[in-house]
Amino acid sequence: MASQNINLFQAKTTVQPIFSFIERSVKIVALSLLSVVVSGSLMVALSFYVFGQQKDTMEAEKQQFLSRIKEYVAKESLLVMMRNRLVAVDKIVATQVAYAPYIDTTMKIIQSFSLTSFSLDPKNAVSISVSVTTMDEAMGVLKTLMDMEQRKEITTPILQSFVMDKETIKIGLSYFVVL
Amino acid sequence: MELKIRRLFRLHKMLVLYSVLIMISILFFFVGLLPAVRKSIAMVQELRVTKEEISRIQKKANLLSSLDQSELQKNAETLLWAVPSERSVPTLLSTIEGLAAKHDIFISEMMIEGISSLASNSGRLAVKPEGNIITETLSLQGDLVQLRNFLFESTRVRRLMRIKDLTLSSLPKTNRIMAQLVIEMFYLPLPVSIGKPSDPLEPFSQRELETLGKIASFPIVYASGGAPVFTNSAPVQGNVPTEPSVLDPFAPPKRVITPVPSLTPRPTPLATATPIQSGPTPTVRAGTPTPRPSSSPTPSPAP
Repeated sequence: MASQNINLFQAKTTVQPIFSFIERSVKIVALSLLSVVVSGSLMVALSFYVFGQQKDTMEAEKQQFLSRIKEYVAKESLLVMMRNRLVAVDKIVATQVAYAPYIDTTMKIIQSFSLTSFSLDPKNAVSISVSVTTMDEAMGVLKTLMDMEQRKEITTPILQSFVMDKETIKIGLSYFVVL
Repeated sequence: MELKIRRLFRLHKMLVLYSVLIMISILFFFVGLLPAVRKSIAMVQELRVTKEEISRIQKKANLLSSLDQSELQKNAETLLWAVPSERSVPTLLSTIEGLAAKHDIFISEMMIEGISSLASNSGRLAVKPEGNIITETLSLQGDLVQLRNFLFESTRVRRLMRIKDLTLSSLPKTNRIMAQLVIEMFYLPLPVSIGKPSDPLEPFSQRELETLGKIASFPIVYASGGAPVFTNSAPVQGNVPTEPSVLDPFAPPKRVITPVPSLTPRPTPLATATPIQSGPTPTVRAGTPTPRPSSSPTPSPAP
């Protein structure tokens, strides 16, 4: 007669194959992650140590240079003040108007005659008034003006006014000086 | 039910253990490792910045140590003459008078605007890049060549000025001409701070050196009796007074040689015998023509 197993508890537990596969995969993932975290932590710790050392060294070096700079504070303040002023000086020099060339040109035009008035407008147009006594002199002034225009010393010469009374002739002229 | 769970735990003990390990690893990765990596990267950047800063500071320290303080001081004095730190009305008047005297020009009227007080103004900041402006209106009399030379030289004196407006008109029954000028003169308060020690500092550029050389080549002009107490090796034009002139309102009662200030030199005005009063209308008028010394009028060069 064949023996019959009547034990209701199973002596060996059986795991389904799918669970076995999942368990293996999870194990690989877990160990990989753990190694990443551990090695990453080690690297970060190492970098903290190295960079911290470098930072300390650099800070010491920086303080050394800063203390050197503090010794030269007088020089630095002079340098800053000068640079500040040089900007202003540059600006002033750039905006200075040289009137001498305008007067030189005017002196050429009026020759030895009497200058009654002179003005320079914001667009650098010169307006002058010359006083002469004869028509020949007046023609001489106008001829000089035209000659200077031909020589490109002036541009846009305009006869603004021509007033003749018993004694004098007043000529009003305007022009631009070619600088 | 409880029995089933226990059975499941017992069956998949390792699976549960690894899952917990994964959870802890992920948690540690996001909470601990990732911020630490970020901090590490920030440290690298910080180190790079510090390195650049050290290089800058080293350059600055080397530059400052290579500069000659006496040379710097001399150049600073030059610039302070050109653009003083305060209004310095006496040097302003003295320069104009000196120029006029040099070219034998007669000052018939002088008016200065923008003087509310003669007190120190060094604490006030400049509002324009060229500094603060004092406007002076002048009426001059002379012949055309003299006036031309005055105008030419006015842009070549060390107290910098800018002629804003010019009108010439002839005086009746003479060959003299009256010039009406509006002149702007400048002053720039000293900087309030020099910045942080770690701020970069560049040496003077070629352009700046050229400007400095140009300003240094300009002469200091002052009127007779108005010799500035501040002296340096600059070329000085004008008659150096041997006796104080009583006609000059800015002549000192007694000439005193004051040593050059050590750190912040400025064209210190002479003590005024007759102080200009500041009133509600900030103008100073010099209506009476100033007599000119007839001893050595500079011959006017041909234009």
